[in-house]
Amino acid sequence: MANLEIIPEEKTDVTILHLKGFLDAYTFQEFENKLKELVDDEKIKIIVAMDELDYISSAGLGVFMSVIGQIRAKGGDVKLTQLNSKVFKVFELLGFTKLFQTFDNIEEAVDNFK
Amino acid sequence: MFADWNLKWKLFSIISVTLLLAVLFFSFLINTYEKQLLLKIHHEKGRGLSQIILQNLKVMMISGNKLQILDFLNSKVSDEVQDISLIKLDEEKVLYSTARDIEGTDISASDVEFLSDIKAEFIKSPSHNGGAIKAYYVYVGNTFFRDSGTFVLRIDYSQQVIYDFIRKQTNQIMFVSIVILLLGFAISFITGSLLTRPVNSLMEGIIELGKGNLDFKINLSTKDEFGRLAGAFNRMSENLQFAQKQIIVKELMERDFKMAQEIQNALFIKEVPASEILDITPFYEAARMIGGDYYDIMTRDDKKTVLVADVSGKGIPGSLIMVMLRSLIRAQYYGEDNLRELIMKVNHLLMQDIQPGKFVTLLIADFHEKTETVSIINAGHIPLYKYIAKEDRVEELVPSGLGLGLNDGVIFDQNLDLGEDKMAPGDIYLFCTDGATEAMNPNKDQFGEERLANALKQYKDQGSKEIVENIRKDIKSFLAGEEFNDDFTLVVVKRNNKEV
Repeated sequence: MANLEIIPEEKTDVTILHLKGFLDAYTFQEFENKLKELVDDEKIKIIVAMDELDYISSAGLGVFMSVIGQIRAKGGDVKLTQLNSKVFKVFELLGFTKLFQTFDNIEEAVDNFK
Repeated sequence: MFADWNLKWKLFSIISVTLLLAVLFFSFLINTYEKQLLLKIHHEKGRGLSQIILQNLKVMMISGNKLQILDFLNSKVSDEVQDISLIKLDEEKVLYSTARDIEGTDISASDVEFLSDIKAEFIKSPSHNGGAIKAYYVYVGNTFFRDSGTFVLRIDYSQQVIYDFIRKQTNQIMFVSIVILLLGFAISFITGSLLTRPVNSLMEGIIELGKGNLDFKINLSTKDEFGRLAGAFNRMSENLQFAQKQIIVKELMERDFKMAQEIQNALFIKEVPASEILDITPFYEAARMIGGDYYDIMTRDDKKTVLVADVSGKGIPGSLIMVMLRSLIRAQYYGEDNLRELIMKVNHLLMQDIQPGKFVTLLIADFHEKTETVSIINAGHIPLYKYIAKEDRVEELVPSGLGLGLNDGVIFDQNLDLGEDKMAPGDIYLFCTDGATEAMNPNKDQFGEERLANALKQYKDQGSKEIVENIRKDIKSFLAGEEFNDDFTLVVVKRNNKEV
C-alpha cells in the first residue's frame, strides 16, 4: 500500500499543503482530517501543491468536494498548483478544473489570494 | 498401568509407599539401637546390683556362712534376675549359686572364654579395685575374702523378661508406625481429593465448553493456582462468547451483504434489448461483493441508450448512490428525450440527496437506429472509445462535462456538452470504467488507454460478445494474478453490417 505524505507550510495567512505519494481510498482520510483541522483553525486560504503527487483516485478527489463548500462559505478557497499531466488529466476529465483554480506555481496562487 | 490411574490414586499410592518405606526404615533403626540399648541397660543394672551384693558379701564371706550367703543371693533373685553365681576365678569353679545344680561344678566353656578376657584385663592391672562388668558378669575382687583368690559375680538375667521388654517395645513401635501410616493414608487421600476436586471442576468446565455451552462458569473461589486457572477459564469462556457474538454479527452482516448483492444484481438488465443494427454486450465485475459501478441499456422509440457510471467509493455506500442514480435516470428517461436535459435534471436531483464529497462519473450515449447518429454525454467519465471501421483507427470521444454531484448550477450546466457522432457499419463503441484502464499489474503498471484501444482494433472483426470476452481476458492476463482493485465494467456496442 502506497503512502501519502502531507507537508504543511505557512506563508502569511496562506497555508500550503505539499502532497507527496498516493491520494486514494487508503489515504484520503488523512488528507480530509488535515483540511478539516485547518478549517477549524480558521485557516481557510489553502493551497494544495501537487508536484510530488503520483496518483489521485476518486476518493481523493472527493475530499476536495467535501470541504470546499464550508471553506467558501467562510470566505476562503482551495487553490491547486503544480498538477502533473496525469493528475491534471483526472482533474480536467471530472471537471474539477472548472470548480477549482489551478496554477503552475505556488507564488501565483499566493498572489491570487491577495 | 500406573499411567491409567487417576490423579487421586497416583498421589495416594506415591505418598503411601513413601510413608511405608520411611516407617520400615525407622523401625529398623529403632530395632538396631534397641539391642544396644538393652545391653547398656543391663550392663548398668548389673553394675548396680553387683555393688549392692558386694557390700553385703564382704561381711558374709568373712563369717563364711554359706546358707546366709545363699539366702542373701536368693533374696536378690527376681523375675528379671534369674540366678546369681559367685565364681572363683583361679579354680574356674562356681563357688555359690542360686542355681543349685551348678554349685561346685566347673564353670561352663562360655564362662571360661569370657573370664579369660577378664583375667587378662585384671592381671594387666592387679591393683584394680573397681567392678569390671561385662554383660551379666560382675567382677567382685580378691582382697577381702577369707577364702583368698579372685572372684567374679555372675548375674543371669531372664531372657523371658528381656524378650517381653523387646516385644513390648516392638508393639509400641508397631502401633506408632500403624498410626503414622494410617495418618499418612488419610493425609494423602485428603490431599488427593483437594487436588483432584478442582481438576475435576475444570474438566467439567472444559467438557461443557466443548459441548458449546459458553455460559458455563467454574465455581472455584480459592486463591491458589487452581482458583486462578478457573478465573482464566471463565474469562476465556467470556471472550469466546464475545468472539462468537461477533462472528454471528459478522455472519448477519455478510448475509445482509449477500442480499444487497442479490438486490444489486437484480438491478442490472437481464437481457440486452434486441436491435436490427446494433450488437451490444455488457460485462460487469465488482472488486468487492457489492460495487459502485453501474451500467444500463434502455430503449425508447427507435433509440438504444447505453450508459456506464462509476460512483466514488465502493461497497454499501457506493451501491446506495448507484441505486439512487439508477432510479433517477430510469424515472426521467421516458419523460425526457433530450439527453443533455436528462442528465442536467438527474444531476440536479442527485445533488439534493448526495453527501458532499461523493460524486458519480457517467458516460451515456443515445444510438438512434433510424438516423444512425449517436448523442454522447460524458459527465467526468473516461472517454468513449470508438473504432472507426472506414479509417481502421480508434478515436476517443470525450465531450466535456463535470461529474454528477459536484455542482448544482450554472457551472455544471454550462460545461455539459452534447457530443454528436455518426455511425457506420463495422464501427465499435467501447464504454468502460477506470477499473479497466487502471487495472494494475504487480509492477504497478496500468493497463491503460493505449492497450485498450489496441485491443479494440485487434478484435474489430468479432462480435460484441467475443470482443468483451477477449478484452476481459487480456486485462486478466495483464494483471498476472493480481486482483482487480476496482469495479470493472465494459459495454461494447457494435454497428453490424446490415443496411438500414
